[in-house]
Amino acid sequence: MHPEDKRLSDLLRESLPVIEPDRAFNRRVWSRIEALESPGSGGWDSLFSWLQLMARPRLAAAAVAIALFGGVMIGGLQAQGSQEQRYLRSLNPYAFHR
Amino acid sequence: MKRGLLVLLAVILTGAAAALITRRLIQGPPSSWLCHEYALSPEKAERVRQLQAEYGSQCGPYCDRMCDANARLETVALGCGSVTPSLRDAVAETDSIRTQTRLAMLEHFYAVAAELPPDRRKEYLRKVLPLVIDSCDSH
Repeated sequence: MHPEDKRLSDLLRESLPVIEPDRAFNRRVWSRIEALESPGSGGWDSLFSWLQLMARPRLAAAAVAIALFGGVMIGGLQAQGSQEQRYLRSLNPYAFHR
Repeated sequence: MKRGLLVLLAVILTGAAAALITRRLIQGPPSSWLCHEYALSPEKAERVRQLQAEYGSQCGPYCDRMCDANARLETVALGCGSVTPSLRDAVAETDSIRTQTRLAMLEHFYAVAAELPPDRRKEYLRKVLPLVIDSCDSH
């Protein structure tokens, strides 16, 4: 090895930061591995994983706004469609009973 | 996940509430369809609403009488083994009330039709007459 290369290698080794994992690091890694390997994680959890997306504030607000708009539209259409039937039902004298 | 479920629940409730409230707000009284469909003036619309209110108070008692007569007919019919004079009377009583009710309905229909544009009165009567005339379409 060229002497300059050895110096460069030593410099690089010294410049790398030494990161000490905190005490909970191992525990967190193992708990994540266990969670991935557990049999339940592939069933209901993955089926409803999209629910986690709903927890995002922007998506939640958008979903509520869409539901509000959709509800207003459906309610309006229902009201218009049933008006005639409602009038005819109001003419049925037996509907007044009870 | 729990938070997502709560948001989903809120979304469903919001949609359902919006639909119900909108429906309730738009509907109005039953006669509002008539006023809108036949483009009635405010005066005519008020007259139709009045007729509808009078009709409601007039027809309610008919229904109560019919229910009482039907109950009597059932009691008499269950107590007889054949057509007796009391059973005939009970049947005649229900028929009489039914006839009076139908006549009251027809009076109301003609009164309402008189408030509608002349060229659309028959159209209205075609819609409401099946309520008093039994259909024979199956024959």
